[in-house]
Amino acid sequence: MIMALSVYDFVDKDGRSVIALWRDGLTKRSQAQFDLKLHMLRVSGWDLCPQLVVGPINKTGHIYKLKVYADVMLRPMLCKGPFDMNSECTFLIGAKEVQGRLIPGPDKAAENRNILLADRTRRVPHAW
Amino acid sequence: MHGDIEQSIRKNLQDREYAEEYAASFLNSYIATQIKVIREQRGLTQAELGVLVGTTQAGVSRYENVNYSSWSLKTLVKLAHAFAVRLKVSFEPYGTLADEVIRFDRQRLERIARENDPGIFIQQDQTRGEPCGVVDLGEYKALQGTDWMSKENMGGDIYGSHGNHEGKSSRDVGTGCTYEHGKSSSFGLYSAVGGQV
Repeated sequence: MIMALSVYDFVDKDGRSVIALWRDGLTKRSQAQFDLKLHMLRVSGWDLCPQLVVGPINKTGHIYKLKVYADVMLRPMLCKGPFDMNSECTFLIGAKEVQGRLIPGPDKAAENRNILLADRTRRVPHAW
Repeated sequence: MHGDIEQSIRKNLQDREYAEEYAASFLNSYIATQIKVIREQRGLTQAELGVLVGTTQAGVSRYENVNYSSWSLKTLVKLAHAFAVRLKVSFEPYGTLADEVIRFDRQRLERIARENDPGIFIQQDQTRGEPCGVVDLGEYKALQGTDWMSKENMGGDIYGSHGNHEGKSSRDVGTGCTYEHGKSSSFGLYSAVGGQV
């Protein structure tokens, strides 16, 4: 049974995907690592690939991080749904992990999720 | 279904640096995920598998991490023995990678154990002239991607040999050919149990 997910990106006030902008700033090697992990998530869902997605990592229990070991420890943050928790996920912000600390922190991802919950237009389908 | 991803992968793989990193990342993800999938298929805990391959539960957990990259052939061979499968290492062109990524799912990662493998037991039964029941071998062949099931390789027509053994159904137990639904397979195969290898 294929557990494909629909993947969305949170967009800033100007309608730009925060994840696409973040990815553009990565090295080619890091982009390749990130893309592969994203493809695996899209194709096989949350549970098949071990330790691909970790979480929830914040107090409210909605924020997850995608683990990507690249030139730096990339940790883009995402949530399930938030409108259909079973079949979709939304990338909320790009991040990296330095000495066990996420930069930016999960609070920023949670803030973006709250903005999205109040305004469904603040996300777009991920452009592959 | 994933045409959008497939096109994107093919385009990006035109860049050599990107292609090498993407392929390496897929390889690591594939191995880690397949270890987890086959371990679960066998009904083993991480600790139990650890005993079989001479490591700890934490060691197996490390193998079952899509970001783990320090594989050795020796470790992979140990895992293959524990799972009763063979290890296959193969060099491949980049052009097949997109297809492998978009078809990545649990069913394609599962492998039947040697003792349930019709590729061994049915052939032996044919050699002895004791036809045993087979269900949907064509599907098995397609999923495994091999040609061993061809008529030539099998030395005869096995497709019409479902059958009666001592006048009983091929699924009967105790007739010399005992069948049970392949416990380890998700493909609905029937496998001969009790043969000699």
